[in-house]
Amino acid sequence: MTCAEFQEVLPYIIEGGGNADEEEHLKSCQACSGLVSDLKYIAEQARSLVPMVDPSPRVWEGIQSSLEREGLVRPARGMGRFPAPVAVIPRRSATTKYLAAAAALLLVAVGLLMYSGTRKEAATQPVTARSSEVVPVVAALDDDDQQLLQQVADHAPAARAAYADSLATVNAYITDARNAVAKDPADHQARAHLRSAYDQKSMLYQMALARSLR
Amino acid sequence: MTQAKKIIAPGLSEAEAIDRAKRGDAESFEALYGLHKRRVYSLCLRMTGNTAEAEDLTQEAFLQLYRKIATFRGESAFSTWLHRLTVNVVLMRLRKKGLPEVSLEETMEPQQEDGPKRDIGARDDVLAGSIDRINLERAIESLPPGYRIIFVLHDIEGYEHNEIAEMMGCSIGNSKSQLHKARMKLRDLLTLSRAEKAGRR
Amino acid sequence: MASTRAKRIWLTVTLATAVAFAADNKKEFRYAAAPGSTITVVNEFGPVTVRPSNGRQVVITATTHSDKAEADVNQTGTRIEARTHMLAKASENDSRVDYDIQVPANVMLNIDADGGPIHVERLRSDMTLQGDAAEVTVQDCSNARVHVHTLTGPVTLSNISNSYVDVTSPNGNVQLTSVSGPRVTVNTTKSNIRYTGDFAGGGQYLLNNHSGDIDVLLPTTASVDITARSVTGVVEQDFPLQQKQHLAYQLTPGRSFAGTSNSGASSVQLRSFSGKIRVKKQ
Repeated sequence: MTCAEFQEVLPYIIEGGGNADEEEHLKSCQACSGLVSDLKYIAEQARSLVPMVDPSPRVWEGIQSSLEREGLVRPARGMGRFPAPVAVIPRRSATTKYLAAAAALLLVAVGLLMYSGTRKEAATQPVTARSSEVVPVVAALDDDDQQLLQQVADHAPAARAAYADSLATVNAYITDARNAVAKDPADHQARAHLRSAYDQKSMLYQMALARSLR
Repeated sequence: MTQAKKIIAPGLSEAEAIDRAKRGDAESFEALYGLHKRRVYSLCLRMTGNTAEAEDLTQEAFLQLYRKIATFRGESAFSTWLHRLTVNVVLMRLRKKGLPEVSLEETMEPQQEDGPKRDIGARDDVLAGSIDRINLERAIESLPPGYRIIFVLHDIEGYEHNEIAEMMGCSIGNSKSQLHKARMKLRDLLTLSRAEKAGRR
Repeated sequence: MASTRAKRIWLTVTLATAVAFAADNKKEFRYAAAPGSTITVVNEFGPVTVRPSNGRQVVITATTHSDKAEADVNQTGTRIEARTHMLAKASENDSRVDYDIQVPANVMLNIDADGGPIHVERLRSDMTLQGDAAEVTVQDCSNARVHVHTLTGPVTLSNISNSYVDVTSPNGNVQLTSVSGPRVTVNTTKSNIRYTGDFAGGGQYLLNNHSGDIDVLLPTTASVDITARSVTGVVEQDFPLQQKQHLAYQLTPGRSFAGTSNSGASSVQLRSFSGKIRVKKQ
């Protein structure tokens, strides 16, 4: 058996051993046995390679935001078992909670509106003042709206345009209705429109929230 | 439970963290990540040779882990389960990229052979006791992808040829011959670097 | 790092992966639905279709179009859930999962499908159908509770009887054909509302929007008490109505009208802020 012949079958016999001829060649040939010991040595060294490198913190951040987005994770509860607080939920979840609060606030506003609408008020009472007490300021795109759009952009960038569009639409409705109520506080129709406008805005917030928690 | 009670945070064993993670506990997710990130990342890095890709794959592997963690019932060690999952994630990605080397057909082996052509009969056992891990890691990194994957799976991660053949969709013979070529190539690279070092002295 | 023989088990993992590689992968899930069951579907891209099944079976067929998305379907007690999971970042096409669902006619339904379309037919249940841009169609239902929420997705309801219906969509057009019940409410902002039918059943009907149009087509046999008011838009009445005896509010000509037809059984409120309201004979 020549070295060439031996080295041709070497890949298939290096693990389990070869036939009598092959073993004989190995025993008697310094070059081939040197080769085999080199290869085995490499394999051995590889086996003891210990993982030494950590991935960058960016990786965990990516995982975290995906976990939240997919709703796989519940916010950390301080149970007292972990003395060093693990900073798990980043800024984004705070925004989510904020959105939920904003949505709730809208519903409260609507509820208060309905209540104030059923009370008989003197026409001189400035409704605008009272309205602005109970109702969050609604401008073209206020802070809450910006947060909503940011939230949507973070989790479903393709949907941002639709939300921006719908927000603008509903805000216009709210503005019109508020102006009408301001003009005539006793106008039930105007109040009904304001209610409906807020209902729709509230629905918008809830849909954005549901999207970002998915 | 098949695993020893591993404490990974004050008052938290791995088994407990897994349980809590199944129920969506954020701190447990993070604890499990901390425990296994190095292993997962190193595996991805070695198989791909690319840090950006490896980070991406690490993220993907953990996400899949967390999505599927509810189905882990402790019939094997958690780390083994995670390991298999990671290998699958990497292979899926490589397959997606359609690397021809990954299919491991004999006819598609890379042509290049840098390093000195060695006489078959020449005697040079230059390696025993001379590899340091940095050189070895570097050498592995510079292997062509097809060789590197097999080498990582077999010699570093300990999979058997029949398992590799199944995973890669090739024959056992292919797996063995590619492994051999990988080791031969490494031998060349490591000899070269040693010769360089020797030359400098 | 000693290799363990236990690595045999990875075969199942690998095989599962292999299945996922097929271009179109259909999976079917069957469950028995006890009374009081709910079905929840969450799916960002792809159609969701719901039909009645035989007996008390729930059959969910999920079709993926790439290996980047997977349908996670399971049952916990009375809750059956189908959620689409993305396994990797993917294009819309790759993310798409089609759900074809058969349910007992009275099982509660929650569908959240942003891309949609969502299609439901022949059920008698409480259903919430939601999606940003989803086109929603519901037909041939009776004794149901139908809640629809979209942002821009058009909504079409037809042949719904004796049901509670509420549709909210700031920007999606809403079309109701032969929809009747104890209560039917539609709220939009910019989009149009179109109702064709007889407002049957002595129910309460409210069609409300900001700047869209409201178009109503009804037969002279309808028994309705109609009020149509637009704050700044115009109203067109092309339908015979009897004057109402008592009115709690002023009617601005050109911007509102009110009246009854036949016995005035159903209450119909058409309300727009700046849009046009048209009521015509069918």
